[in-house]
Amino acid sequence: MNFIFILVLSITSLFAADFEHWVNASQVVDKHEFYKENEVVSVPKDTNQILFAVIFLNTTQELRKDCIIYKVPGEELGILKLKNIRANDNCKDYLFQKGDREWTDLRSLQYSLADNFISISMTQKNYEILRFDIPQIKKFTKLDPKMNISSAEYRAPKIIFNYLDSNVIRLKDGQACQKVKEDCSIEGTSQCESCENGWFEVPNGCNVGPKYCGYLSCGKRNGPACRRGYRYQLQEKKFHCTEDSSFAYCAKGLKVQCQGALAYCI
Amino acid sequence: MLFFRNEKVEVPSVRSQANTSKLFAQVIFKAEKHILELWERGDKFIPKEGFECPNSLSFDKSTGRGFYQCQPHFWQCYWSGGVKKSPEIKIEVFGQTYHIEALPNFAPISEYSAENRFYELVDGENFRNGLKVDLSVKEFPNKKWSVVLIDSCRDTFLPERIYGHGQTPSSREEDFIWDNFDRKIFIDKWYVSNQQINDWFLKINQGHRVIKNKSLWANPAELSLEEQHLYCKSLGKRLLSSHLFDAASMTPINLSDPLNPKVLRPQTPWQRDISKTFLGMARKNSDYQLTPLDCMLAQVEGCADKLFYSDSVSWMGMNYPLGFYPESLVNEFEPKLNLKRSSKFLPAASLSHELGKREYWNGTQPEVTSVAFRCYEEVSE
Repeated sequence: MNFIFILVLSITSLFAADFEHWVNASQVVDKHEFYKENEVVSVPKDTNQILFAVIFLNTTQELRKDCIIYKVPGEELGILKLKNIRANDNCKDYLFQKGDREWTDLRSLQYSLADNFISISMTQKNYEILRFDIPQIKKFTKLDPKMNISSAEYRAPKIIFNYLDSNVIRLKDGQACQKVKEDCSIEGTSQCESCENGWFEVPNGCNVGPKYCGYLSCGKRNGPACRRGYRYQLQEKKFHCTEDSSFAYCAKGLKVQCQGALAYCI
Repeated sequence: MLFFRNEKVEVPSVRSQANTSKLFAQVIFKAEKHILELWERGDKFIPKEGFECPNSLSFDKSTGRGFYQCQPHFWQCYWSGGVKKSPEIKIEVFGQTYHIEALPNFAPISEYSAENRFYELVDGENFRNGLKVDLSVKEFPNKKWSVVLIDSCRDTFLPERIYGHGQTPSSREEDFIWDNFDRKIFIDKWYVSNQQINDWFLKINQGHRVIKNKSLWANPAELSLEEQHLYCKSLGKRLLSSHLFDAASMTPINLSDPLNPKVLRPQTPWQRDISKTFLGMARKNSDYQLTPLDCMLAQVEGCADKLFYSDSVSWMGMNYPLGFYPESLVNEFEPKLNLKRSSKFLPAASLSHELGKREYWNGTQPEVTSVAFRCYEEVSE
């Protein structure tokens, strides 16, 4: 008897391609209100039911949602549909549409969302069983840094279960990795963690100054000033380079010179 | 139909195979804590008599246990059977015992040995030099799971507060204070070691520079100032600055008051007034005899060589704030004062043994007294 197995074991090789991305699921939502773990879904017959939906980041870092819709067998055999939509869209709006991936002629289906696994088991027309077990990797939540925490564990889980071999793209020296306007508003998110050789900041009196990839030692003549902070003065005030450059410092013998809001040393 | 039913008798076996896969994943998940313990606290697995790993690592009692934490070569040694004969990790799941092993699935590094490796160093989006390992469970042959262990032992967080720079100022105007609020700064706990720069040599295709003598791996790396910068940069880090060194080594008066602008400058990490320490006593009494405790706090001339022992740890987790090796520092205020000279090459009575004291280093390694270094990094958010 030829049973078909697509089992989830190794992230890299043994995943069912249709569900591979679920390992990095950020959330399982729209869980069916009544169906119980591992019980056969058999009613209401001939209706389309949303079993659950999985939200994940796709390869282009876009938040997407997989709706898992099941046409319960009745007069006809059942169909399991996977419909990939934008994360903010509603699965209900796609209930009767064709799935991006469909498993047809199903006699029965059971599923479970427990124990760090998403499991789906389908009995097909010829009684062959198709089963998927997709492990759910614990989500990494950034901790507030505290004594004894390392930079590595501040950035990433201590053990990475879903590592994929790929070329990491790093930003080259000189590229702006965090843009900050003169009014201290930040444009976009910081890319500085992707800098190949670290980054440096040009202090501007804001909580965050503009940053660039690479290394430029601060405090030297004609280079950026060093960041001194702003709370050591214990004063509630706004710093602006031309009015008060005490948020920055230079090496002995040099002075802070402002270029706009940015502090340099001369 | 009956025929079908007969065939369906086999269905449970199908399920059991499917469940086997799930169980394999469950066993690996359950082993997480044990795998991490072996990686982060490898020292706990070393028996009193040490270990035998001629092809991966040498055991030396003068090397502290910190060296074996997050240590790729110890991982190699352990799974090669050098620490105990059966290195497998036993895990109980649903009342049954499973045996987890790392697999020697990675190419040998000829500079170290001809044996296959139990790991490979990899970079990811949010980590560098992670240890990629293949895990298997004896009870599930032909299945493996690749995971990455990150180096969570290397550095430690510098709490956000107001700090001072340099020694006690002679006037209020000279009292330089600064703060690191809203900055996430992490400082290496130890000097960069020969073992660490070996990995760097391999990465930059300078395998011929790899230090093969394993007994030297725990020693501080001897690089020129220029290469110290390059090494730290290659990890997205920076060579440690003098104001960060002071912050990390000068114990604040009140840890729970980070906004206190009165920043005292203790002369040693463990005692504000040096005259009350063995260093002060040695200054007064030329016959002062060093005790083992003195050498734990600050290795000075006359102390036995010891590295990677955490007896000298500062208030925030940085080791070697006084004594041990001269240390290279970037001084943003006075660039020429770029060396912490206090070290094991100077007698206890030396005036250099004092926090905040710095001298000049020209950037080339001296023949006798090697200059150590460490890195730090700021995480950008």
